[in-house]
Amino acid sequence: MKHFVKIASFCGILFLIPVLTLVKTPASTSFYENRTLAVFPPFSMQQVLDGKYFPQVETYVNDHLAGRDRLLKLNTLKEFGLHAPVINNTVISGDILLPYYGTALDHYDVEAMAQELDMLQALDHYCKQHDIDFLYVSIPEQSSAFRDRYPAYLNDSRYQDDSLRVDFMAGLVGRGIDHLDMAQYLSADYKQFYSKTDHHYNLYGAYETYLRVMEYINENYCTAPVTTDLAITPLDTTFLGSRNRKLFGLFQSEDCQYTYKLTEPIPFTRYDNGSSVPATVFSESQKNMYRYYMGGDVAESIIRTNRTELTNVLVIGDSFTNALETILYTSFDEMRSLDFRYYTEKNIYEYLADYKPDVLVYVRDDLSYIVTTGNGDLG
Amino acid sequence: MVFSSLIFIFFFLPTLLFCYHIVPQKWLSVRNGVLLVFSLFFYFYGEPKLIGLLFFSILLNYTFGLLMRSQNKKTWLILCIIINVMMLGIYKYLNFFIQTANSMFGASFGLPDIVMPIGISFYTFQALSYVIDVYRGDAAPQKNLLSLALYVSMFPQLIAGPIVRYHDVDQQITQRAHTAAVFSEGIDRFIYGLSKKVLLSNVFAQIADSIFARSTNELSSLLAWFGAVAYTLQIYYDFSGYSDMAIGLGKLFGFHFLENFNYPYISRSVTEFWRRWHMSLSNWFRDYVYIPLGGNRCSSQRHIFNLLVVWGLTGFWHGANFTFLTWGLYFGVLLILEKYALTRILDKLPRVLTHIYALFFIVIGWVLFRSDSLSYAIRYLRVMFTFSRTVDPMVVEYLVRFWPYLLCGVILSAPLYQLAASKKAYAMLSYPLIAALFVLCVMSLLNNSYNPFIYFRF
Repeated sequence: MKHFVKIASFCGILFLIPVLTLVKTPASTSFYENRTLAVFPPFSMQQVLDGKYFPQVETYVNDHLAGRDRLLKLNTLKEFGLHAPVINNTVISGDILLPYYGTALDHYDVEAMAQELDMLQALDHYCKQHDIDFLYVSIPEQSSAFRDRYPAYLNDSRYQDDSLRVDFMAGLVGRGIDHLDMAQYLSADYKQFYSKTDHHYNLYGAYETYLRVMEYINENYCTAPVTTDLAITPLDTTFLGSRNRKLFGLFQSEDCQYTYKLTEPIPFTRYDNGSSVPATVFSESQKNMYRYYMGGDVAESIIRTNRTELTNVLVIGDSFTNALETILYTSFDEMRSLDFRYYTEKNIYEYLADYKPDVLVYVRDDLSYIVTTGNGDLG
Repeated sequence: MVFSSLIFIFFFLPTLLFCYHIVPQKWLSVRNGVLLVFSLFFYFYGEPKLIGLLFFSILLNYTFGLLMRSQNKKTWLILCIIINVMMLGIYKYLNFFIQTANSMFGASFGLPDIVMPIGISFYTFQALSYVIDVYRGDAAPQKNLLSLALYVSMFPQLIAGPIVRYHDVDQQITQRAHTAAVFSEGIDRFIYGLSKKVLLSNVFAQIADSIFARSTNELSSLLAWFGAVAYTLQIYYDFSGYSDMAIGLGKLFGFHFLENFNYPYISRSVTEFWRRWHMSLSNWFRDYVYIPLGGNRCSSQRHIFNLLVVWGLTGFWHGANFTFLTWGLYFGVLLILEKYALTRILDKLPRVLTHIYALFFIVIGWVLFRSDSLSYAIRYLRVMFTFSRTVDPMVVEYLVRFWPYLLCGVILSAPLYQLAASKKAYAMLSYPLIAALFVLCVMSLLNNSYNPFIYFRF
C-alpha cells in the first residue's frame, strides 16, 4: 500500500503536468518576468541534425510548463524564507530593491560611447541647422540613485568605477551638446524622488525633472508656461514596482504610486499611434504599476492642447519619459513623444523634417548612455 | 537531454514509463525493445550527427563477441581492443596529440574538424567490458544484437555512467523482476539524485565557475580556497547526483546497477577516497588494466609502474588535457606513497587529522582537475598558498547568499542519510520529504536554466 501511494503520486504528477501543459493555451509573455516567452519551434530536419531544434523545444517547455508561475512564486517565497539577500537577481537592502550586478566590469565599451556621442552630435547639428532646440536630459536610474544602499560586499554598479558617466558627460560638453544632468538636482533627496521598488523615479522625481527642463528651456530657448499649481497625492492602491514584480509582489513595502491634480485643468486631445484615445495621461486600470503614467510605453503619442500661442515639443526616450510627459504637455501647444523601441515608421531625421518641433527633448537614464539600439539608435 | 531537465522529467520519462510498462511483464524482449528505442532517441536528442558512431561501436563489439567463439579469440580480442581504442583516440585525443606535437616540435599539422561525441568514453569502456568478459569466459557471447545494443546504449548510464560491467548486468537483460518495492526505491533514488544536482551542485557551480573564471591575479588566497572547496562540493553532488539518478532510473525498469559513490569525503586516506569515489571507473581499471598488468603480485618496481600506468590512464580518460593526466598521476604518486610509507604513519594519527590530510590532497587534486590549463592550475595553487589576510568581498557575498546550501553540502557529504534511514521516524517522514524535494527541484529548475553536468564532457 505504501509503495502504491508513492508510485501513484509520482506517476500521477509525471503524467498530469505534461497533459496540462499540452492542453493549456500558451501565453505569449510572462508578466512577472517582464519578457516574451518562447514559441514552439517549427520542425526542421536540418535544425534537428545541427542540434539546434531540441534546445528550442526545451526552452519552450521551460517557459510553458503547467503551474510555472505558481512554482516560481513558491520558489521566491522559499528564498524569502531563507532570508536570501539576492532573490531573482534582485538585491533586498532594507526597504529598497535594487538590481544584482554580479562581478563588476573593469571597462565600458569605448566604441559604443563614441558611436552614441557621434550620433548625438549629428542630431544636434541637424537641429541647429533647422532651428530646433535640442536638449539631452540625463536621469539617474534608481539603482544609481540608491547606490549607497548596496551591502558593502556587493557591487553597486555594472562597472568598477564611474568613468562611463564622467566620460559621457565630458563627451557631451566637448561636442557642445546642450544637456541637463538631473543627478545634480535629484541627488538632493533621492528618497523623495525615487521609487524604492521600481527602477524609475516617482512622480516627485518626474515633476522635479519637469521643472528643471522648463527652467532650461525658458532660460535658453523660448518662453513657455511652467505648471506649478498642482497637488501631488499618493494613490490608494498597493504599488507593484518593477523590481517587486520580479519578486512576484512578495516584498512587503510601503512604497506607493503618486498622481496629481491641476488646479486649473488644461483640456487636450490625445492620439496614440495615429488613433484617437481618451484624453487622459493616467491609466486608471493600471494604478498599481508605473504603467499608470501615459498607459505605459507607446510608439507615438500626440497630445494637443490647442493653445497655438505656445510652442511644440517632441520627446524621445524610454519609459522614463512617461511620468515626465504626464506634466510636460501642460507647457506646450502640442507634445509628441516617440519611443524608438516600438516606433518604426520613420527615423528621427525623417520625423523631424516632417514635424519640425520647436524643442526636442531627448531623455536617457544613465544605464542607457551607450546603448546604441532602440532609443539609442539615432541613425 | 539531461536527467535534471523539465523535458526529461515531464515528457521523456512519463512517455517511456507508459510505453514500457504497458507491455506485459512476460514480454521482456518487447520491453527491452521499447527501452532500446527510447535510449537511442535519448542519445539522438543530444548527439544527432554522431549517433552512427554508437551504432558502429555496437555492431563492432557484437561481431567480435561472436568471433571470439573461434580458436583465435585472443587475436580477435586484441584487434577489437585496438579498434575501440583507436575510435576513442581519434574522436577524443587526436586534436590534443596534434596540438602537443605542434607545440613540442614546432610542427604545423592542421587540426582535423573532429567533434567528440557525447558519452564516447563511457560507452566504449562498456563495450570493451563486454568483449573482455566474453574473452575471459565471464560471460557468454551475446547472440541477440538488440540485447547487446541495449547494454551499450541504455540511457540511464549511456552518457555519464556509472560504467556497468557486462558480467554485472548480462543476466538482468534477459531476466529481471519488476516489483513495486524496486520501483518505489527507484523513485526515491532518482529524486535524491535530482536534489543533489539541482538544489546543491548547481548552487556550488555558480560559486566555483565565477571564481575559476577569474584571472589568478584577481584572486585572494581566501577566495581561491573558497573556489576550490566550492568545486569540491560541486563535483561530488553533480556526479554522485547523476549516478543516483541513473541507479534510480535503472530500478524503474528493473535493473540493479552497482553503486558509484560511497561518501568519498569522509575518507581518511587517498587510498580510501578512491575506494569510495567513481567506484565503477576504479573497478573497471582494476579488472581490465591493473590486474592484467600484474596488480600488486609482483616486484615493488613493477607494482609502482602498474600503479602509475593505471592512474595516468585514469587521468587521461577524463579528458585530453595535461591537467587530467597530471591529476591522475598526482593521485598515482599519493597512492604509492601511502602504500609504501604513509599508511603506517596515518594509522597512528588521530582520526580528525587523517580526515584533514585526505581532504587537503583531494581539494588540491580538484584544482588540477578544474583548471583549464596546467599553468593556470599552478598559478591558482600558488595563490592558495600565499595566505594573504585580505577578506575578499566575494567570499562574504557567497557566504551570506549561499550559507544554507554550503552548510547542507558539508553536512550531507557525511553518511547521515544512512543513519537516518534506519530510524522509525524517517520511515514516516520519507514520503513527505521526497515529495517536498521533488517540488523544490522543479521550482529551482524553472527558476534557473544553469544546469550542466560536469561528466558529460568526458
